[in-house]
Amino acid sequence: MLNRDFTKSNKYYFKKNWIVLTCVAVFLIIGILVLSFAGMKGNFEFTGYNEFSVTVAETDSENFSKYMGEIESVVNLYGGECDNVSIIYNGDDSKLVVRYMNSLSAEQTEEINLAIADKVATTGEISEHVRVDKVVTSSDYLYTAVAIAIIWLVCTIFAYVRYNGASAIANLIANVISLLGFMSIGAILRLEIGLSYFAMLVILTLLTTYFAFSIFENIRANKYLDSNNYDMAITTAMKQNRTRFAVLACAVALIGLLFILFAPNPIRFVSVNIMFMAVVLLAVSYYVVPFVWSALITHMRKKKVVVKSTEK
Amino acid sequence: MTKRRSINLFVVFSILLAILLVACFVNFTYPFPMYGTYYSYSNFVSNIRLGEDIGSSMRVVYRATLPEGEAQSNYNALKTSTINQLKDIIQSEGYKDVTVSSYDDKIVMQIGNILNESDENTIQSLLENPQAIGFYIGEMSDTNTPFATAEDINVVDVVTSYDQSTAENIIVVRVQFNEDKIDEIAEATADGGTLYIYLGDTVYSQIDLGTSAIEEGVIFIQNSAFVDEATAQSYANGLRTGILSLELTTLELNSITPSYGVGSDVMIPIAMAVFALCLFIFMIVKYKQMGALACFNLLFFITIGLFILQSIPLAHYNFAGMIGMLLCLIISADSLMNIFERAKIHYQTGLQLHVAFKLGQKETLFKNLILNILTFAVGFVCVFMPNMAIQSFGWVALVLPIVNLFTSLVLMRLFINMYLPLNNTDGKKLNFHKGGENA
Repeated sequence: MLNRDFTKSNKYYFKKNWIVLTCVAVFLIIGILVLSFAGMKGNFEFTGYNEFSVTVAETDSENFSKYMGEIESVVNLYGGECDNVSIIYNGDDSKLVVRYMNSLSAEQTEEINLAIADKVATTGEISEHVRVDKVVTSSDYLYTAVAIAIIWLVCTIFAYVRYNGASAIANLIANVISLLGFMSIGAILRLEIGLSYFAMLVILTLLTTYFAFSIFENIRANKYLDSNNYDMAITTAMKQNRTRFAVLACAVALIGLLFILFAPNPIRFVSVNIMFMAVVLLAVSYYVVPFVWSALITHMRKKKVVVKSTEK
Repeated sequence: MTKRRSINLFVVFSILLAILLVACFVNFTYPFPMYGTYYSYSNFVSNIRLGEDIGSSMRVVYRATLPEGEAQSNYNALKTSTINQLKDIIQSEGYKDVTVSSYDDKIVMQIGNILNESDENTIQSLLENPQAIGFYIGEMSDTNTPFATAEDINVVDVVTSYDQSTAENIIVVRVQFNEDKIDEIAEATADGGTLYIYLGDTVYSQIDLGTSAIEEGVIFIQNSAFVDEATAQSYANGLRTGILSLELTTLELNSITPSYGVGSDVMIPIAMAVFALCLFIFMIVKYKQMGALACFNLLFFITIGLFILQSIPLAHYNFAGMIGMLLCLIISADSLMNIFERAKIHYQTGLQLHVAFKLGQKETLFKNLILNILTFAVGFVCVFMPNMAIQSFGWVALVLPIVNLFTSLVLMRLFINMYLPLNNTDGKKLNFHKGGENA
């Protein structure tokens, strides 16, 4: 795959009407964005949660795990929506603070409260219930979009100055595709997301650009562009980077895997996204960046030649 | 460089690394009295401020009620105002990771970044029992009523004022009353005396007015305890808890474990350590002795990085920050791999190791520089974002690429120069082979 001629398959790409192509792309992007946000499954930070504290008689480790187990089993009895229970321990006041999703009906919430009260009735006391609204606000979406937009702008200008226009646009397209791909996978598989998802989008932007710039740096160093040998330029750069990209993507996936293995439930669910980030990165760096770059550079250089010949 | 000098330098750097690792990960009590400390050393890792999702935090639940005379229709507006006031007070104390939400008549605050008992005490003293403020001339009594209360205050802030007696700028707390109260306050304090500021029934502060009245509706409070802006801000924040829009009754105030669940603060570092171990094993398997040297270098990167991250007072690190730390570790290892891979290609063409590494470092210099600058630039954008997760990642992405540039471009160059006198010919010890597809 990586040794094939990237330029051949692209020669018809830009013969189509570019206005139609741009419109289709914009509609697709908006559509995927809307569907992705609609399909996302947020954790308690997105949905809000019910919270109460249980004062227990003793908080030695044995009692503590006993309470945690009992309360968690009661909450989990009420189905998948309650799988995001988070039990917080306050050692000083012999208190357990219990949080669970509040996407339940008032009756179900009441049932859970009674069941838990029943469980801890002999040795514990339950505080007044508090229902907490979602932590995520619209400004979180806005500032994430602003951060990503600024990074795109800076990187595009930088890529244009250091490499060429094709690299700048290829990086931008790769970024859009990786972001849409990442969000779509999350939405389709209903992967759980938390507040850290916003940072993950920024991290993905950074890594996609990191991978793309690695390719462009190698293209620049190999100097094949001087002789207009685009195929050799991209093929050699990919050859030099493919193992490295695979290692880096595996390392990203390993981070996700380790958090899934070690961390408590809310982090575990959110971490699945990191593993898919590795898949998206690999796909974008192996396929999208080289194809788009070679398509653009072929188109741009050809156009330049035609203009020059007309002038003559 | 001679072999002997090379070995000596390795010994020196190993001792330095051992000291850094102890400073980074070990807590201990000094064997001798150390003035200005608590006689114990707190390591870099435990000084890192964690966000409320993966670190300890304080949780306060209030019942918010309308002050007497306020219309019920104003309740929601006043609740929003109170939430903003509370958030502002806590954030101006330096605790940026604050989550406030409300339901019915309750307000729930969760404050992250709680590092030690001192932080707990600060939060507790501010939030435990907010009471309405009252200004009196003389002590409070049944006959002595306040000349100004919370609703009469327009703003409480910290300003710098020029002191004519000492001809220096001093830090003062300014209490500005509403314009319509200016005359009334001037009249009430016409004879001067001692100004008592009460929070509920407790005296918060006493100020000697001498014989002068409070004119133009402003008091500038100067105190010898205001050694810097932070102490003055703490004092001002105490006053600001007395001017909240709603009356708050504390239902609960406790310190709690991470909101991502019990064990987050322990299991995440374990996962990070396992990742670092996997990375070290990979480097050693792939590059043998040079891999071991890379691990030596990465340990410097980790310790220096942690030192700088913990010394930024405003920064705190939540789950996104932790992912950022691991990513920067990958980027650091990648910088070294870039050098090694180029050196490997040159070695395959028949060059000696020292020439191969020299060329490898030279050819990858710009690539490593640009990739780290890219990470730094992303970090720079992110630290200005109010979204806490992005900001946390931003601090990491801002600091660690600079450390990486130092370790991978400067330190690693030195380490390679130290290594080459010990082995300049045997590429097999580095998993380098003559010939091959790139030769």
